[in-house]
Amino acid sequence: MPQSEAKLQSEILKAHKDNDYSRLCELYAKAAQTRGDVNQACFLATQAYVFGLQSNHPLTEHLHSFLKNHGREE
Amino acid sequence: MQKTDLTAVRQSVSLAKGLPNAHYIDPTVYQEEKHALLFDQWAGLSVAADVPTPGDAIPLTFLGLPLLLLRDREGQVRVFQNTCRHRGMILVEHPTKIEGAIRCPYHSWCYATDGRLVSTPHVGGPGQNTHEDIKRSELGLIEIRSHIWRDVVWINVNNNAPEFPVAMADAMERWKEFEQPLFHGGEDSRFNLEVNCNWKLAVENYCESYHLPWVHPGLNSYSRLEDHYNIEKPGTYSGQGTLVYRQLADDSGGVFPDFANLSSQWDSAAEYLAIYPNVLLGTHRDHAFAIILVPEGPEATIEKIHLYYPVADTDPHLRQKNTTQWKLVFEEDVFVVEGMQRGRHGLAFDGGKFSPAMDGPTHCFHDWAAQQIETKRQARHAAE
Ligand code: FES
Ligand SMILES: [Fe+2]
Repeated sequence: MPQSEAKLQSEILKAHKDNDYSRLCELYAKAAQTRGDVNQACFLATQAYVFGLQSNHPLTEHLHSFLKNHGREE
Repeated sequence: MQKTDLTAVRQSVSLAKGLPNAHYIDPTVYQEEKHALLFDQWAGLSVAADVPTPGDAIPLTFLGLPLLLLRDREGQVRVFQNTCRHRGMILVEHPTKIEGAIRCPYHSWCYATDGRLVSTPHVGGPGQNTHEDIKRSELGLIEIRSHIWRDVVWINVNNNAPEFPVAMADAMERWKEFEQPLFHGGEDSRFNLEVNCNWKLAVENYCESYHLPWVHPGLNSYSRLEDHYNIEKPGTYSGQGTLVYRQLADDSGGVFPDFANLSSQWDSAAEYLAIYPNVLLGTHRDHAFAIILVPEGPEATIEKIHLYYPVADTDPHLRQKNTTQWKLVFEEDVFVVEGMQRGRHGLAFDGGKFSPAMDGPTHCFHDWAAQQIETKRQARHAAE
């Protein structure tokens, strides 16, 4: 695992522990951008989207379009 | 199940007996009454003041039913079953502020505050959030029919009662002058009392004035028994009224403001209604209260008490004094409702003999209860 990815991973774990949902939205969105593989990107974007919905995060709309464009969301 | 005999309860007050002991102590009858007297009716659950701003959400258990009381984004108070449509997980565990959607803690299905299912992550496999067999429009939260009146959140769990304004027309008509904004007094104006009795005993004690000189001597020193009158509206409510209500005043004679445009009868009158099944309301020229009786088993009840005023800003000192005064009165009633509960373990107690002059409102409630139970039994019988 490259170092930047390990760092992101540990930030995500911390945000889970803190129940910091808007941070989780941002971190998963960031993680999604690092993936060239569409399936992996959509998996992570889904995580981001759900925490965005929960916390009413401004990224939510964008994540929704991304998923919808890939046929992953209604 | 052995059915209780309610014939004697349905007689006129001079001949009738009260409800049999089993209606206060038997878990099977408690279950029967849960449907006939509570889920089939408009029962009080909570007050809208408990969820003052959009997104406020409170999980509640009402007769074993897990419910979620919330105020949606548009400001409407709603009651949902607090159960996820996926695997039945409890959705909201603690009182919370919902910022966006309600996310189930199990697999993260998300619901809007109006109950719509808005996301089903990975439901079609990792990263695929749709599936042809998952029809979101059919999988929203189960909403419980609710209505707000006098800030009380009333629910009809079995979704079979007439529309609220029809069901409660008589009570609404009686107090139509008070059909105006009510302001909850805030933190100093709410308290709970936990009592070891069946919820019906709290109704029965509330709606009669017969006990006032003995149980509330302080109250009765200025409000004599003969200044009280019985109120009976068979099938809907019963209670008592007083003709000599005097406003609470602070040391310099300051009082609460009045509700607007009341007729002169309310200068010195006050009324106390038990709205069947489980809500006890009081109204006066300058304040009101609501008591919601939450049954916690055949022999336990939580009384949730809330005080209201005609305006948002009232003197905190006077408000505190009013709360303290009412709390004292309601606490004075605890030993009688708990004592009547224990008394109902007396095997030979036959439901009791009513005073035709003084116990009319209590009998009115029993007659209603017996009628509802009999109707339910007949419907069951017909269905079998
Ligand atoms: S039980 Fe709620 S999402 Fe699975
Ligand atoms: Fe009393």
